[in-house]
Amino acid sequence: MVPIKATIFEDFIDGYFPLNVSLGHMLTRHGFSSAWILMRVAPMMEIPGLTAADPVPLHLNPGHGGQFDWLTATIRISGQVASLSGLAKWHWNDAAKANEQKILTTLRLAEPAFLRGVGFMAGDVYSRSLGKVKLETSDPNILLLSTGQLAADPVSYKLTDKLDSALCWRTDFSQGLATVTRAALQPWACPYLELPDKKFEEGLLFRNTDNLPMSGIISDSLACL
Amino acid sequence: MTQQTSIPAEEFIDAPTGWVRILDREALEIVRPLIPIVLNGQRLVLFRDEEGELGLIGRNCPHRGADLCYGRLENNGLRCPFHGWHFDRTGQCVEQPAEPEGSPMYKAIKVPMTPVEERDGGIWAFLKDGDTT
Amino acid sequence: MISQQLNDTITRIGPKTEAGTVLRCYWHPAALVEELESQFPIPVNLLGERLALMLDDAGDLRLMTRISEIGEPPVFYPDATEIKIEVTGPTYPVMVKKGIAFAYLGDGEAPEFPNFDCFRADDTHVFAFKGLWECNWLQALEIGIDPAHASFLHRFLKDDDQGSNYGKQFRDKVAQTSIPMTQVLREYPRPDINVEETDYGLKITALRHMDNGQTHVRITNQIFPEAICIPMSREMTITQWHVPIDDENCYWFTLFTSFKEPVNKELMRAQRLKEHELPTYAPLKNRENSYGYDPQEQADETYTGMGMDINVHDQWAVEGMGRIQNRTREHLGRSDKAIIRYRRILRQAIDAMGAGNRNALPMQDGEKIQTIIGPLSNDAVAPTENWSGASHQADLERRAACPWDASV
Repeated sequence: MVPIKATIFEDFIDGYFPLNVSLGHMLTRHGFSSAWILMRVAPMMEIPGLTAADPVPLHLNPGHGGQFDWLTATIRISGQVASLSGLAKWHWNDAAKANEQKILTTLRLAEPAFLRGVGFMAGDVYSRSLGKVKLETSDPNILLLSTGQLAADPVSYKLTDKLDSALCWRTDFSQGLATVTRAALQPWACPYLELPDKKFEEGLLFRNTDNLPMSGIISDSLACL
Repeated sequence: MTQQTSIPAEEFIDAPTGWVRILDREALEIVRPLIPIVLNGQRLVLFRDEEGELGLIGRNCPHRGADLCYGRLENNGLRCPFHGWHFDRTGQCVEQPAEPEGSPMYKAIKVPMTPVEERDGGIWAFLKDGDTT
Repeated sequence: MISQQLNDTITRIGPKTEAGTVLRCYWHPAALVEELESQFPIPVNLLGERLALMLDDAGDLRLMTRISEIGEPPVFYPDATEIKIEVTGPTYPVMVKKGIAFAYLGDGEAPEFPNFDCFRADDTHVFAFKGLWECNWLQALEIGIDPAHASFLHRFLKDDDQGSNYGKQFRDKVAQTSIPMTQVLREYPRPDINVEETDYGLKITALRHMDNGQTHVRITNQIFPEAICIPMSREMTITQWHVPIDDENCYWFTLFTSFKEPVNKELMRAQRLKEHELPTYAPLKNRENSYGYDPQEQADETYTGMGMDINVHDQWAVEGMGRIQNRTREHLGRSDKAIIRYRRILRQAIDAMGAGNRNALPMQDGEKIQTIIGPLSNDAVAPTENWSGASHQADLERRAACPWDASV
């Protein structure tokens, strides 16, 4: 468990562009090399035959619309766009798509979306899901948890007294965006003290503070669970 | 050049596909060369830009739906008075002055354009199959 | 762009609709007190219901169901002698606050009123008025939580002297400076917008960073579900409800609240009566007369060509979208962030009511409601590096100098 240089942020990303393009714009705006994000209640669309260079459609046909109830993902800058993997709960208006378990990261949001997250600058500590991230030496509210590659000793950071109200999100998602039910989400996000350590690969630990974006992350996380 | 005190009345035109004469050229010889046109039920706006070329584009701003008949003719295009989105005669959005600095969103926004030209003293529009439904 | 289904869900407010159920958890303006001076019963058209204000046996106001004819106009305002009460129809409680009769059309207990400035100021310091907009309530609300539009829709190409602008929006000088508000809006059209969720709705901060190391800070608010609270001038704020008449028409009801001096109600009323016709409070400038549009004025003086009254500009913008804005054709930008946050709260409230969880909605938790005060609603110019503290300080000074209890 290591404290890493991280910025809690809130932002709006553009709609209409492919999601990986809008998220790429956002990473570039903030100067992040990677980030973990959480988004709720965001309308989305998937228009057959629309290429990345086309102007966006001027009208949303009923069958092309849907909504993310929530989405959590790790994103990393990859050229101009973001590579994206994570978990989400969504629904499409088109009943024929009701059983799709995966969606493409090139789908589009149907309007700009509000999101919260944690952004990382490039550094020397290797994280498998977030790439190289910077180490933080002073009292961070965010810790990177990992089995195997990183030495873990919370005591040395004098944070043990705060960890009982900390929340952990695993970040070692599979490739792409996959759906998961609310019940199946429990091993992915939970209070730190209930962490199912055997399954655990890598994750972020948020220490609860009164800081507004952080309390927003915690309350949004609890709403997803 | 005719003085004007308000917006010209809407012109209603129903026509088959192909090139259709929609107006006499004189109809646009007014101080503010812009006329609302309803072509086979589609609400459009016809205007002349500073290069003297015609544009015939959708009437509601694609942002929040404001009525572009009340747009400002300026900078060689039509600007929506609601948030300043600016369109050229092809319907391409060229500026969104309230969006955050560096936003590329305007590039992805294009209002549908109906081809339009002037000949034989008239203004003609080209209606495709899809325009007549 | 949202689907038609979602657009219907968030706009339609009749009995048993999803958004209608959320709105019915709150008090809504039903009539101005000045309307009560005529003979009872007094017609009220609210949330898709045809109603009338009556005095019950105890002399209290009560809203009752009125028998309506098929084909009545949406803002039908029959004479008292023509009103027939549906004696078996629903009846609703009414409470008068500062020149407005509020009604509660929901199930269960009506919530307390929050302790906003417009309710706690002395009667001498609050003036009420209303006006008709022929469009859905949501688009009427959304223009009020859109800080970017003021730099365009309300752009004046010339700044007039600020002498005769009492009681008018955006015609004052900014804070303690000699800069006209119109100049700030015109020269800095791309505000940084911050949006925070609060216990009453949203706090919206628009920052216009000026050239001289100063920042213009404008703080406005969304009060859930259908009101806004914004500064009007240095002296006054506007608390404005966009109340549905039905799905396709709404009234704005405004409480103009003055901090230091009593409101000149005669002047404020005369200014507004000149622009509206009674008894419907329909604006004299409207769709039929192109809102008084003058192309020469648009070229030389105003962005819209529709005169100096910014209410007319707003009315044109929202009515021009159509009776119910077709949001399957809209393209919101990041500058629309307050609208995006608001719709998120509304969709969450709809979901919560569907799950029977009314307490999850803003201002429904009985004990906390009366502790909600303010909200802070202010224009200020402050050093860019300390805009937040300086803006707050300017508001505190104004409140401290106020004869009624405006403490926060």
